[in-house]
Amino acid sequence: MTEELSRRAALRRATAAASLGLATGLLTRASPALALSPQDDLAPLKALLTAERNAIKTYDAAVSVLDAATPADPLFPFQGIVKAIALHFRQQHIEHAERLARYITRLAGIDDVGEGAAQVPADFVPGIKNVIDLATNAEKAAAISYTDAQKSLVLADNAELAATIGAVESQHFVVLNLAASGFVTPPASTVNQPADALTAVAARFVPRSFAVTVDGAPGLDDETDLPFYDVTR
Amino acid sequence: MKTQTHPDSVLARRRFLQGLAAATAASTLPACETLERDNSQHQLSPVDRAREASALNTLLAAEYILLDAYAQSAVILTDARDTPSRPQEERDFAALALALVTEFQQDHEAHAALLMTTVTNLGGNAVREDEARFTPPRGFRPSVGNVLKLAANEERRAAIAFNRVLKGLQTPDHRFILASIEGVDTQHFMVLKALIEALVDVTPALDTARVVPQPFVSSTESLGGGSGLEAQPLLAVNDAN
Repeated sequence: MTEELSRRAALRRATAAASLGLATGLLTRASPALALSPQDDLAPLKALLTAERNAIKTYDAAVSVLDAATPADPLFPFQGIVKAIALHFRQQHIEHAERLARYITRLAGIDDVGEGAAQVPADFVPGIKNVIDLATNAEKAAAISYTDAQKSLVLADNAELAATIGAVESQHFVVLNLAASGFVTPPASTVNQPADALTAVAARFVPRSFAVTVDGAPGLDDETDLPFYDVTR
Repeated sequence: MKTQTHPDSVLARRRFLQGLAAATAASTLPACETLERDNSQHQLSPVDRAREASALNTLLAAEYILLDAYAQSAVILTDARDTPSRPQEERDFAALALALVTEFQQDHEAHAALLMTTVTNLGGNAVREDEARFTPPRGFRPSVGNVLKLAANEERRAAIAFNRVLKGLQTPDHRFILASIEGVDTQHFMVLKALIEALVDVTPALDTARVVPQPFVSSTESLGGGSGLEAQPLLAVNDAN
């Protein structure tokens, strides 16, 4: 066998093995890092759960501000879609919190972080634009926190959960930041519409609560590919 | 709802996986057989280090494939932008899309550079860029809209791949790197999806360099990477209406 043929055969073997590995997560061993206890994950998981509960309460406060907005607010025509998106993101945070609490319980930990508290700066001025900015700041901080948590998590399952949630907070951030920066506006079809009528539209922003399917909750891997062969749209 | 029944999509995914695997496994695994223990690498055994390097190399190949896909996309978009016979609206959209994909390309260059450094630090042979090329899926028709759809599909796939590989890594810094990249890929995906599905109207103020403002979610500079969202200043929440 020539060297070229040998290399080709090796490539074929490697292709088969590694394809399977990537598809099933077996390229590396999913085991905890050395000399660390799974119990060490409780503190970072609880910190993330606290942040999620705070985020839910912050969105509650934000929705109250949106409900109180008046036509004098320059963004009043977008009140409905902003509220619908806020409620959509809030619901995703509820799912994140539920999942974190479940993982804590699996480690024989106790969900004792409380109900959370809205994180609203003292100088906050009620208004739709300020709500968007507040949420942008919060989602940015959340995305960073979940990413940084990778440095301290031990168990592979917990690292996976943090990554799959963090990537969703990252999407929340980018959507809100586009609006906060004035780069985009909601489509004209949403103007002056009540939030209740825009639930389906809002759900298309950040369509999944998790980046990958985890513990039975569907992720972006449950999304359909966009049909690139379709030139009609 | 479970996904993906279109044969083109299945074929594209299979080609993607096969391409990655062929490019990385061949170049990394042999080199890692001789790795020595290094306490700074979280006390991994040589076998585990080789395994980790191989997994990271697979993702490096994914980044190179995405970079090549974006380079090919840029050719299509440049042509659409510069063809006078096309409607002005389409040419304008092509210009916007080109500016965006150029920015996303730069993010992926940063991701690839960090992955290459990491694989090399593990003692692995990093896959070469010319070993990982993108082949457009069968049935792909070059157009501005289809380029964006294809990019959105690939960004989504990349994010999923990073999350799955991350779970198998043992070194916290490596998990951190992948999470920091994955979050940017999901940002890319979301922006592309918003444009494709007309979820938003673009304003003249749009600055494509600031759409996905940083190449990493959290700074990876201490590991040889780039800046994260910490570099973004907090937005003021006390604006008067």
